[in-house]
Amino acid sequence: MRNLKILFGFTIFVIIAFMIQIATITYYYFSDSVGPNYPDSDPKLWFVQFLMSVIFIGVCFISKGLHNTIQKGPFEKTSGLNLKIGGMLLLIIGVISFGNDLLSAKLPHDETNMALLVLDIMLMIVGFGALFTADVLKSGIILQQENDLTI
Amino acid sequence: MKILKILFAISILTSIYCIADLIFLAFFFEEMKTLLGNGFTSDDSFWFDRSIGFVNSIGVFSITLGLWNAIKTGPYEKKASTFIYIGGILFILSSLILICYDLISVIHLSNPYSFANLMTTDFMLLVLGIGTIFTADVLKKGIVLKQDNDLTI
Repeated sequence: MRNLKILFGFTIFVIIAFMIQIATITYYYFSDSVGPNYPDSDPKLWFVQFLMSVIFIGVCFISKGLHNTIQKGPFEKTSGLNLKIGGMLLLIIGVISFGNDLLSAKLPHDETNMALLVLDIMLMIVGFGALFTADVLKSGIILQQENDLTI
Repeated sequence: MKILKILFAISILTSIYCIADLIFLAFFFEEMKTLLGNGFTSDDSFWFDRSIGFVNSIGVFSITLGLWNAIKTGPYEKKASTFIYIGGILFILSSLILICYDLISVIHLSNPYSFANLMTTDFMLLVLGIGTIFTADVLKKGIVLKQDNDLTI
């Protein structure tokens, strides 16, 4: 399960990056160093911050699920549940930001928004992947229970 | 396993997109040249992007096959795990190449979008690859459990 540890390391890295990002935006909002109108110039700032915070919570859940898997083995109830909640949150945010980016895109020559749309689709796929893994873990738990009972 | 079927449908859609892209490149290359001019093929990044796209396409096909096997014969089957594992390895390979390429672009300041690509698409592809390998690992463990179970019965 070396890959699992690498994936767990990644989630920790993402969590730290998100914490730095959220702290930086909050600091700049309440400080005068960049001017009082700087954050207010973008009306979507707090909407994006909200989406980021939900992704942050989702990644935290996935990280907790992976930590449980490392500690107690893959077929354990809480790890599947954490992965499921994390996957759901990522999927919901993927769908919301996909809709948002699609509405704000100036087709057909808006490369920045096209890149964001690809990113949203990837976020949705990661969400689905997490849900699929949670499903596999769930059916594995049943198999292990059967195995333990037979022994 | 409703999620598995949704994931399979997504992988089928992605496969269709990849096949359409390959067909377009193979059969309508001359038309593309006429339309966009000869300059775009002489650009190094065009063939680089196409090669990475090709590696990713093979990865998507492999994962689609793995998911198809998982639907047909159940998730704890050797073929499904192997195909998903190969897909994950290919995703990791292409993401690492992209990370190196974008890092070089960032250092040389040759592409203004490189840093954004590095922090978003490349990183996400790497996470997707490692996640896919983790799923293949879990399936592999499940195979051993199922074999144990079947032998005991």
